[in-house]
Amino acid sequence: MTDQVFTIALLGNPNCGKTSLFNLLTGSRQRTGNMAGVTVTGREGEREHRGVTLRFVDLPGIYSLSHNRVEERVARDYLFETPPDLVLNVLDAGNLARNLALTTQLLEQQLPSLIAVNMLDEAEAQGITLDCDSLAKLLDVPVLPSDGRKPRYLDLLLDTIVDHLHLCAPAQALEIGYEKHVEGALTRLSETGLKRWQAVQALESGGDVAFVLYDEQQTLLQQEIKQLESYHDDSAAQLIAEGRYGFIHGLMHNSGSDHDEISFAEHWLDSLVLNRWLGFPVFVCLLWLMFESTFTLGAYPADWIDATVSGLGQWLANALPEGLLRDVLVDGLIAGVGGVLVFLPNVVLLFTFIAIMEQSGYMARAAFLTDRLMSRVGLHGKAFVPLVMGFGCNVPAIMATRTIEEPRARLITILINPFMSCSARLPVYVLLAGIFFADRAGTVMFGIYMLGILMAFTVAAILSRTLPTQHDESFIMELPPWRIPTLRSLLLHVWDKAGDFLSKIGGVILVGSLLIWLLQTFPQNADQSYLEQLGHLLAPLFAPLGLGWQETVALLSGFIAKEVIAATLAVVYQMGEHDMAGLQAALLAGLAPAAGLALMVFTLLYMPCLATIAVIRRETGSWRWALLSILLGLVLAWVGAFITYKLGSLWL
Amino acid sequence: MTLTDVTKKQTCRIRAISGPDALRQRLTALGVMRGQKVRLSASTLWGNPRTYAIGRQQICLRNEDACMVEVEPCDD
Repeated sequence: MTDQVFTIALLGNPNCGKTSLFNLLTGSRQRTGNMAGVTVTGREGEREHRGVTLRFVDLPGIYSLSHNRVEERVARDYLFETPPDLVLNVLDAGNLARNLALTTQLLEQQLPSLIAVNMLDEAEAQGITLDCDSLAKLLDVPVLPSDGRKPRYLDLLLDTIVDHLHLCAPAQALEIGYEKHVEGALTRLSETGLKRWQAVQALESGGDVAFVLYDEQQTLLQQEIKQLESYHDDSAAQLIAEGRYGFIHGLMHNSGSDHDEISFAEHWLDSLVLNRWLGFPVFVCLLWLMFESTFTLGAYPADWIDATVSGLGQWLANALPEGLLRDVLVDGLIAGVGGVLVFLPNVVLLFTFIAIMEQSGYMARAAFLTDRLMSRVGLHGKAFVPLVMGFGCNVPAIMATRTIEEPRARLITILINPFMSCSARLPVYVLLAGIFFADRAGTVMFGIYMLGILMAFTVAAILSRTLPTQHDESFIMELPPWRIPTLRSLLLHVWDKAGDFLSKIGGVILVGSLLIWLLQTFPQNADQSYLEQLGHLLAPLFAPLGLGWQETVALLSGFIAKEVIAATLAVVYQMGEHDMAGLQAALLAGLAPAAGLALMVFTLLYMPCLATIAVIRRETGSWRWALLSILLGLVLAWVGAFITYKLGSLWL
Repeated sequence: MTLTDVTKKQTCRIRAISGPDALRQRLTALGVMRGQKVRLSASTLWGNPRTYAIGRQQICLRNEDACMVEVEPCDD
């Protein structure tokens, strides 16, 4: 047992591999992606090493401690209010100069730091040399190589962390010589009682700092900032940044690292993916390919699962004596849970594709390609990531909108997110498309997803014209270098998602199927079960859409979680049938193709599930928007399904 | 000339960055500053936004922001 606990904060530029390193250090599985802004709030994990407990905190990636964006404030306030025992400053070797700018801020602030240089092999491949030892000597802090993707440097890193923690001598504050007018301002600010780093940070951020500035300090500060602007054409922040980079270039020169401006080497993939004429068509093709293969590749393992589940059902049906127990197991549990379990391969595949897009760096490029379209409807290229994450699950997707700074663009992105069809709705599409449009199921699914996107954009356009306008945030984004996703991180990520799906099956879907079975079975010996009565009560509402009472109750049950829709259909239709083929035949007999399509459209658009409503409420801070989201969904779903049914009846 | 005038074949050097404070602060944070070499690296179908190779990174900018960055052609 250990009694010593140390807190270590991981800090670094966005996309420098902090979260991968954090995962390696703590053994936990956090979502990582090759895209800025994947870590939104600080996360924690623990590890024991050589008798001490190390508590790691993963902070959001930032470029600077003196800039006023949400992630930067989170990191800055954390470091000021609860100073960790050690800051593990993670650097990307491929872009060392910019990464070191943040390091100089840390060292100026005299925070106990240790530098881990990530992506060394990537940098070496680009011909960049780096001498960690001489860098360490010049900066007077340990500098170690690290790699979040390979554990080979891990022990050395942990040893050094523990050694450094036991060493209590505080490092000397780094002092960078700035331009002479800046130095003058710093001296005058220091005379009011500010430390040098505080004066630097105040000048750099225009007074938006974590520590308290008294009125007279604030006045002096604004005066100095104005004066600096009048001496030079540059702002105080620009002058200080130039000082930092001057220092860094000297540092890199003296440590034998490359400091020349090597012109950016273009990757061959970019000349295709970002080609002015090909870029967008390639993007659409990739999306189509993703849905097509989700369906076709997923079909094989789905068949195996289906065979196993129906075999189990058969076996139970034969082994158990006739009665309620057999019915609840076979018609309730196996039918309901099995009906959703079949879609595990599809869900896994979809998440795999999304993870590949994120980790390779394509997602950021897609944001770039779609920015123009997004800005037409009052959105932002950065809204692209939360929207694509919505294909997985709307709940984390809505949380990921926190990277969008501008409140109005963020609100719109939250409200349209439920139209991005989450993986819970996938089973319904796969089921229905497989029955009614067997030979073009992939295309129909692609169409449904496109309809969702179209609806999202339409709603966004309307909202952006009705909500009060604000100054548009500029779209400034760094494109990450291409990276090949490692099998390990892909597997971890997908395993996590599959686990979520399975625990949902064990939880809400299990309970839901049993409840549906109860309502379906009781009262016994009556003309109509409770479920049928409820369905018939509400059926008139759904009759214009071509849907019967069975679909009505299925949709009703989907309020809890969308997967339950497929489970309910399975329970309701599956009396006496124990495999997918039976359910398909029953649905085909009971529903017109146009009505099947209408059911898919309704499932796509109608109100978000309970978890999503809760997260909308939390992220927007009011029930008003959650309520709007429900109403909007219901109205659009009904109208959309109605039109689909009417048009579909003409053609299908 | 400004960043929006830079072509793919041309390498330019940044002379000055103007515009609102938020923009300047953001660009500074990304390490975009006076004296750096810039090249156009990609453009979308609509010609906006564009991606520029600046130093060792690729940065996306909308034309509305890129026109705030003053550049001059450089020979090497």
